[in-house]
Amino acid sequence: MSFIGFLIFIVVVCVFVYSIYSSVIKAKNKAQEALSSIDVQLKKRYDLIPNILKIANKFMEHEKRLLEELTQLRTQAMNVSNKLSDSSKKIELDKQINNKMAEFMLAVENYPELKSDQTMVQAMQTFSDVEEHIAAARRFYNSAVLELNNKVEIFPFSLFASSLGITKQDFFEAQKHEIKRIDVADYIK
Amino acid sequence: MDKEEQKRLQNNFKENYFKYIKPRLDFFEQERVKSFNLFRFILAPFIILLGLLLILFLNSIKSQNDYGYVFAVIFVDLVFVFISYVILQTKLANEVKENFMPVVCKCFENLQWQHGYDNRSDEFHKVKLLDYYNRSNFDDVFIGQRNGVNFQIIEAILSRESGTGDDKKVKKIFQGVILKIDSVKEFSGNTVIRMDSLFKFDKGNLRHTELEDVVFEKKYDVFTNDEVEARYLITTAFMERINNIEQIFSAKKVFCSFANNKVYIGLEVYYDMFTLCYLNKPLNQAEFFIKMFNEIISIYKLIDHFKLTQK
Repeated sequence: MSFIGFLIFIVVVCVFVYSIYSSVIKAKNKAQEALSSIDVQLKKRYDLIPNILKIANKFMEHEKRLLEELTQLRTQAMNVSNKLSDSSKKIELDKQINNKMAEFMLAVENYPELKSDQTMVQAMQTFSDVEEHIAAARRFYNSAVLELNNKVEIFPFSLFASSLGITKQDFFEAQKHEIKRIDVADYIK
Repeated sequence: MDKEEQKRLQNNFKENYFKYIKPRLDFFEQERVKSFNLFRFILAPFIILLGLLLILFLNSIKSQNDYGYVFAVIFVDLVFVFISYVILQTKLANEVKENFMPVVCKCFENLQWQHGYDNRSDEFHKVKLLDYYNRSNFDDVFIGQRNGVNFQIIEAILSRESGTGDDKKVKKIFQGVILKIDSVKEFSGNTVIRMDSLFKFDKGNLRHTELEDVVFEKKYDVFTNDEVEARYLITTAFMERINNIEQIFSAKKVFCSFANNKVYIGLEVYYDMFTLCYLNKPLNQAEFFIKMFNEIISIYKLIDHFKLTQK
């Protein structure tokens, strides 16, 4: 009887340990999945940017510097991998692109012909939709990272996290200008 | 819906009521009285019979005879009376609706009424708005447009029948109103909001997901097959609006599903909405029409509250 009891105890401990291990791995994979989903949305945005800049180029002759900076940032962002370990770099580049796009939106205000151009209106509406998807993807990522960070910091999950080399990840934070959501209608009237 | 629009609609209703409804109400009131008298004519002999049966029953107790058959006859008696009432009430209500619903709908832009719904085999279960049902009763259906977006308001009682013979059971799945509206946001997945159904809901390929709003999370569970799309559709503003739904519409339970580029909102209410008459109440008064008009207004306010016609 005592031998069976001991066996049961071992099985219970093994199941307990395995469940902790698997929950840490699941949290890591979920965060990875969330980062990939941001990637998908960011790629859509990066694909849109050249179209928007191409249209803008015809009208915004005095904003060459801004357009070139945006193009460069976009190229850099496209070259960042979608590994969890590169998420900080991705977040930083995303912040810079957001800042530049905000500058671009303000600059568009000075070009009424550009604002009323149908192709530009269409492109900006699509961009606005993509921005909403990016915001949704960020929320998903932040939710997954919160769960992962909790596992990394709380015992006994932290034991497995450190032994597997899983570390805390940064959140995607909204920029100050993003707190008021960019609305295409505000810029194109 | 702003106050100006509401006032305009109320003026339309007032004009239509006095022009097209009131002049014809007397005729239907006469029909109602005839139907009610017929019901009383059917009821009278059964009340007498009921009295006799009760006397027989009391005598049975005194003489210790078997009185089981007395109960059976009383039961059949009451069922017959109830069925008569339902048949007469339904016939009258349908006649009144056929004549007056189109007139009430004219007060609104782009709104039509029809009786019954083209139910494509448990549509509301397929989009995971509601649990499985195999019996459906659709009453009033309104089809309209609001700010260029098509919508339908469907009054429904949905239930599930199981077992056969003596083991037959009928469980009510839903009674209330379902709002079905074309989505202005494009999406391809299926996201569902249910109330406290974490362990009871047959989620199929959907996964439970948690959102940020604490108040929302206490009352509702969200299931989806696309985490990003779920958050794209259920924004923080949407969650706040669903938390405040009682301000606009009083419902026991709220269900929501995003599927097939449509938004479905189920509002469970345990009373018959859009009713214009009762067999035992005078018809030639405005109260039922005003009540029905206000019920439609509350649905419009609900569409505006959720900003379902805005991107």
